[in-house]
Amino acid sequence: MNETAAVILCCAVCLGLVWYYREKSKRQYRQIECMLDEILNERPVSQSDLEEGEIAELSHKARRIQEKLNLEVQSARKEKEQVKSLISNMSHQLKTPLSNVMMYQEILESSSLEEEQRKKFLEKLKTQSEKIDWILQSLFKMVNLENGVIRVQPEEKNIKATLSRALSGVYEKAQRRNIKITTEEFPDSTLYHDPRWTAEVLGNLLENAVKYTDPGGRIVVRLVPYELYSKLEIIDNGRGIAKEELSCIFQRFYRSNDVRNLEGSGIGLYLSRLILEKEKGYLTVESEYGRGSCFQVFLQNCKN
Amino acid sequence: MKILEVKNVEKIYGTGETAVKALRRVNFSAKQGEFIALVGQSGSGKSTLLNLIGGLDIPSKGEIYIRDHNVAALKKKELTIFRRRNIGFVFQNYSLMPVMNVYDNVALPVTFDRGRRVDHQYIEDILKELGLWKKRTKYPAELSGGEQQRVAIARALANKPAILLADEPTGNLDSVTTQDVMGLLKASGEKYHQTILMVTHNEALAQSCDRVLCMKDGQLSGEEGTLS
Repeated sequence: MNETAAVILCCAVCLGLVWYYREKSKRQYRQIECMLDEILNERPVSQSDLEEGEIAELSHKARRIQEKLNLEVQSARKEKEQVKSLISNMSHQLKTPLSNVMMYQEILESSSLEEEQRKKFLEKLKTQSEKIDWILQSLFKMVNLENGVIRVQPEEKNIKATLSRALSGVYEKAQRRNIKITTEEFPDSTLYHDPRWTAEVLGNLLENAVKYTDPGGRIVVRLVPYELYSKLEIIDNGRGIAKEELSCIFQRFYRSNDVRNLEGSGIGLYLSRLILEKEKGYLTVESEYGRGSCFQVFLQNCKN
Repeated sequence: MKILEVKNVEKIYGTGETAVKALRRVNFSAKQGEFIALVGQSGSGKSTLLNLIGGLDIPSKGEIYIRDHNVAALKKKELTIFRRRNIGFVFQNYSLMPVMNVYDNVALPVTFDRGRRVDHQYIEDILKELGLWKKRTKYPAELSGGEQQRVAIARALANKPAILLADEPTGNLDSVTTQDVMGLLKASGEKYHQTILMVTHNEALAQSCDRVLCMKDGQLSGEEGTLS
């Protein structure tokens, strides 16, 4: 008699437990479904994420997913704005040299010119066309890099070769402006970089240094090795950058008011930063207005 | 998107005549993915602010919103859970567990959360990103200062926090390793869309951040280099 009662009790307890857990899992299922609905309908997740346990953890993750979605929507919107400003900037950048070209062409068309003057204007026409070409080329590079059409392929390569490649590109320009470029002695080292694009970065920085330094100035290039990164410094004693502009100069199409009359596209530094990002390096600058700038390129020593 | 908003925060230590106003009407906000440096002299309230944002202390007045939660109004239990899931801390003295190896140290904060799977793939990713994968079986005592700090950064990232708070992360490191640690902080912040708030004495370090907040006598005295 007692045994039967025990068996019945046991069964009842078991049934009770089964029922309890079924209800619990049903409730959890409903909570999860509700959460997913909220994500789908772009409503804030109502389930608390400040409790212990599985549901709160899931709620936390659901919120993260929502955040990520929002962020992506926002960045897409921002991108759209940037494309708009890109187009307006581009037309602005091209307007000046183009109108110059048209003006020179008009002058050349009038036949009253002497041979000497004609040559002079043809030369000017050529410079302006080259400028247009240069702007378009940097634009292409930028757009292609951004879209990932051009692949930056970093490998462990000798940095000396890359540096000399960049140096040879600006050497003539520097000599013409009577600026001395000295490279401090450094040991041979292999850094994680793409020689072609890193040469582009260093070339950009060196060209800037030459452009913004008065004749008779000097530029120093040196390499400082650290544990994980190596630092390439390009130091000039040129006009320098005002403190409040330091964080702006890497923005796309940013041009300082001081250099409006000097040629430039406002793409170089932005491009450089983009390239270095793809090489897992980075770029910083220290500068004192009127006394010179020091651009620092950080590249990884090796990859593990 | 705003991830952090500090509104009219005040912090007073002590009462009556011995009361010290550590923070006075501090207001600022941070967007997701921003790298902000907090500079100022000793005693200007930098660490107090960091502790308040991190939920280690409660403001006397004002509100701190992180991910739409008012940290100042949370209950103690909720605050612990909130902190575990949303905030990563990097301290000057690394604070690693000496009896655990690198991998276990990094995985530790995740194992605190019940009902949570340890995402080994993610931990492997961060260890590789920070150049620690080969040293994962080593113990903290066998590592250099820079490496220990890298482990601390990896640990702070393990929970995929919304905000990484770093209190003088490079204070104990020489200038060479400082550059390394900074570079990695920046790179991982960008990769994992982390908002980083870093207290530092080092002007040069502050310069390389997106934004510099300057603290003076418990107030934000100026902002430089705001990125649009």
